[in-house]
Amino acid sequence: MASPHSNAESADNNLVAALKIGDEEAFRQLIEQQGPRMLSVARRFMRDDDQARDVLQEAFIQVFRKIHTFKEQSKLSTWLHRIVVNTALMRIRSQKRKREDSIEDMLPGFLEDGHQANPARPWAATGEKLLQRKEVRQFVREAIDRLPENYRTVLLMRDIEEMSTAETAQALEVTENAVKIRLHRARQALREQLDPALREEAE
Amino acid sequence: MTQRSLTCREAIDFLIDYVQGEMPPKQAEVFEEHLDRCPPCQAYLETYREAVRMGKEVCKEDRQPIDPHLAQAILDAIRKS
Repeated sequence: MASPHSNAESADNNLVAALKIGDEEAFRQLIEQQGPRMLSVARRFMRDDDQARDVLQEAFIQVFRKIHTFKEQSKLSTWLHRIVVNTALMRIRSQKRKREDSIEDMLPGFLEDGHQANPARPWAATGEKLLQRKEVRQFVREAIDRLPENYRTVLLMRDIEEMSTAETAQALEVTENAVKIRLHRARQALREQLDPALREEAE
Repeated sequence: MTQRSLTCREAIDFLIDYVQGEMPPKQAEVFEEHLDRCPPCQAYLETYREAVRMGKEVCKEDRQPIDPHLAQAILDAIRKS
């Protein structure tokens, strides 16, 4: 008996076969099925609705051009995900960098003897609990958006899009070690921005 | 790595390896020794993990609907390309 997994796979294969012969109805179906997820990825990278829509459109043009290279043993959703991420990265790279805060200013400080300059304290509640408040969710989103671009993209690729260090390094044309360093700094900078508001009150 | 104690700065520099489970066991031992006697670094580790979890959580919620106008624009663009 066919498992649900293989059903999904064979549905994908049928769709891919139709896409490869340029069937417009198949593209319509693909946009309907995969578009919403791809648009939310584009929105996270671009931080702007119009630009996210442009990226989605460009990504589907790439899909149309490259579908003949798609290998049936790969997963269609993963392939599409990589295309939309790469399209967003290209667009970000081509844009003039706007003034951004320096990552150094967002990292923890240390005293000369190596102790934390502003010793960390626990937060008032668990993240799960804090995120029940709408304004906290918004605050976290804004903190991610404020990260300098090179760090924000790595945080998105590694933590949010769950791409591997190797894949991220390849897409950004940097070393794996650079990805690791940027991810650590991006996470530290995110933590540092959230900390003052989420900290337990001092006794 | 020789057995010596870490400063907070060193512990926090290496923390990503510990969090990702990529720290060699010997080094992890030294790291944990530091944590055992340093409440600020324990708090740092916990809030670092929490910041990562919160970031993931706020980003994963949205699936953006594709309105018919956008779908049509994409199909038109494909046809023209």
